[in-house]
Amino acid sequence: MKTTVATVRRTRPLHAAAVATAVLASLGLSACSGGGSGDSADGTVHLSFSWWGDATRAKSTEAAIKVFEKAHPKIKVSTTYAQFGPYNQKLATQMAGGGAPDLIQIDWGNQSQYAQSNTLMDLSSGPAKVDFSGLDPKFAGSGKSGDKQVALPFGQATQSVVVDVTKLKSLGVPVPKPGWTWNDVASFGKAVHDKSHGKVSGITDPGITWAAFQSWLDQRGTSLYTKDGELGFTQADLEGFWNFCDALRKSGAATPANQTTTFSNGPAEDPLAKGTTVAEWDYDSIYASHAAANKDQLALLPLPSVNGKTGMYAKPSMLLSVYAGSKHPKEAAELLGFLINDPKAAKALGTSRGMFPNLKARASQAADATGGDKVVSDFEKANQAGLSPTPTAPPKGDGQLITLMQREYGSISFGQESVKAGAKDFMTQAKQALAK
Amino acid sequence: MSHTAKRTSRRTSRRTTERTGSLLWHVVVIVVVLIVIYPVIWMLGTSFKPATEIVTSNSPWPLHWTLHDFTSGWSANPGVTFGRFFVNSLVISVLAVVGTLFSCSLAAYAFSRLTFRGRSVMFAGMVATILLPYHVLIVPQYAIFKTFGWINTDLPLVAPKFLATEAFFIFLMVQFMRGVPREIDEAARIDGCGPYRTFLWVLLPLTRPALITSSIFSFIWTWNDFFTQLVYLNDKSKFTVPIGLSLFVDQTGMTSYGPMMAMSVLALLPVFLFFLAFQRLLVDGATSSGLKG
Repeated sequence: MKTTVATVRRTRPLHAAAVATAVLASLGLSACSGGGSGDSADGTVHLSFSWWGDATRAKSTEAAIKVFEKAHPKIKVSTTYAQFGPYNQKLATQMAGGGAPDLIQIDWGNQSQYAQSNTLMDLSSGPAKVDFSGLDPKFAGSGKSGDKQVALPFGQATQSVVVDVTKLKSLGVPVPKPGWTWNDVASFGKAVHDKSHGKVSGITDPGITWAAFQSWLDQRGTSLYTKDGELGFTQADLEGFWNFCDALRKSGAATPANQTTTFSNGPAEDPLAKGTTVAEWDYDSIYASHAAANKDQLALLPLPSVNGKTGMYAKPSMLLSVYAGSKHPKEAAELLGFLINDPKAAKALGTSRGMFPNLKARASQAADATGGDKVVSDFEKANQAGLSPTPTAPPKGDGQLITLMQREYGSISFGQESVKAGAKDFMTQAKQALAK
Repeated sequence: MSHTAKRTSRRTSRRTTERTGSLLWHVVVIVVVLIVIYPVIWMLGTSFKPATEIVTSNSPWPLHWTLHDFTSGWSANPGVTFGRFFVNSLVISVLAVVGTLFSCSLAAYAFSRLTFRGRSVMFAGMVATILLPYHVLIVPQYAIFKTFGWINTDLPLVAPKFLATEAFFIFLMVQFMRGVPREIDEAARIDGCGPYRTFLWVLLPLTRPALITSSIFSFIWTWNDFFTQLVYLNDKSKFTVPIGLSLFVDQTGMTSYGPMMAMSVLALLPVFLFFLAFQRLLVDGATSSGLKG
């Protein structure tokens, strides 16, 4: 089954954030008129709904909308979709120009920004009240900004390590077991490197991945951001992570710099797909794409742990919000509630956005899962208990730090900079990005 | 005797060096062309490859030919085919060309031939708009078109072209018209032409090369324009080719390369044909405007 993937991968285009920032900052909130939808004389309400994704996701989403329209004959929904990067640029323009759709799919990284400019409605009370009691309250809390529920998760993803089982078998290296530690990563990687005579690395270098660093910090009791949206870690923390990765790479356990840089191009062009590595950090929602890009048998492993703590958490792969300028907040909220709660929606939507938000519907969906979907839902079930609480939404500027991490670690791994100098650069630039 | 023999041999040797020289030259040129054209060949080859072969095979040419990419790409989006996108793109591009030619040539005529108060200030202002980055304009424009109720129609894409908003083309035409000697205008005036007829019968035919250049660029730019079309068009049935192509690229997952390349090949065709048809006119126009200078 072709499943498209939910979580935004490691690169989040800077543009979108930059445009959105500029646009929202310059205009403030000019959103006074409605969401660009009108009413017919016969009382039919016209809603607009937009999301990002490709044609496959469009098919499943439109199927879900049809089910909703059948149950609500007085509501007509017009949908629109685009690719992730352009979608966010368009949304920023629409928000600033006062013409965003009634129901919007938003990215977690943009949530704080839109919440601050008051463009999203409160979903816990008022006209756009949604019943989200069927969701894990900690997970639903990811859509909170202050005490306002500005968004609700539209899919759940969790961090994982994708491993190539076939290749490990042929090399004679055992597949690591859940509960493995960072030291196990080093020895496992070295074994793969030696058995393949240096042709294959054990793991794609995690040093460029912002979210891998996030779990590393969580294992040590700190976090990426404080509650006020400032950096929650010190330069020494970052140096610790990078020193470990640097040693991994130098020993051959992790991929060399030129291969690591291809990691952000998507599963089809990853080192894992090219066969130059046997393990790779990624969100489990991307699993289907890895499986499609790879002929070998793959499996999902939890992240390496420290004292049994993996630092994995339930991440909203995307969220749904009702636009503050919507003329029909009640109907938009009704559609939102349907899309995150109803088992019929779960059936139509499939897993293209990650695990379904409503727990009951998720369980029934998991019971019918086959193939890659089954791998992911089994993985989620096995790790549900050990998950760390979902952190609050990342502050504005998070997207820039993702690329900053890639750039700084890139120059370290290419040998242009020492770990210490790179970490120092990162800290100064990150503080500037967050202060904007 | 020996003298003539020597001369002929020298002549043939010169001829052979000439021939090897030109042969070498052609080889170099062909190699350069192959390098430049490789992405196009790759795109063409990929569009006939089955999905599994695209990432695995390094050969630009398919091992197993298939038309599947074309059929699946054509109907990849639910409820609407790529044909619809082509029609939409074509309508917008043709209207943009018509609008640009009509409005920009009139504006250029005014700037280059008519004298009116504030002409140089307005001309400077017009040129200055070239310097405005697009991202500064998009939000105010969006707000204006929204109050007009033009969102999700072709109007925001086409109407501005009829109002001479493309300063670059005005500038191009003004420069061209300035090159046409004023004596021709005067001759026309003596024959009884007013400003309108001078424009229509004298200046317009003489600026044909500039008009053709403008139409080529205006067509290609509109055909390839992505962001404006994305921002203003919401309904799938109103989408254009660039939007349709972008939907194949899924940054968060799999990119359907085959169908995307197949549709890209089709998307290149109109631009290619348009250029082919107008390029001849362009050269023609440049040689026939012998009146200049």
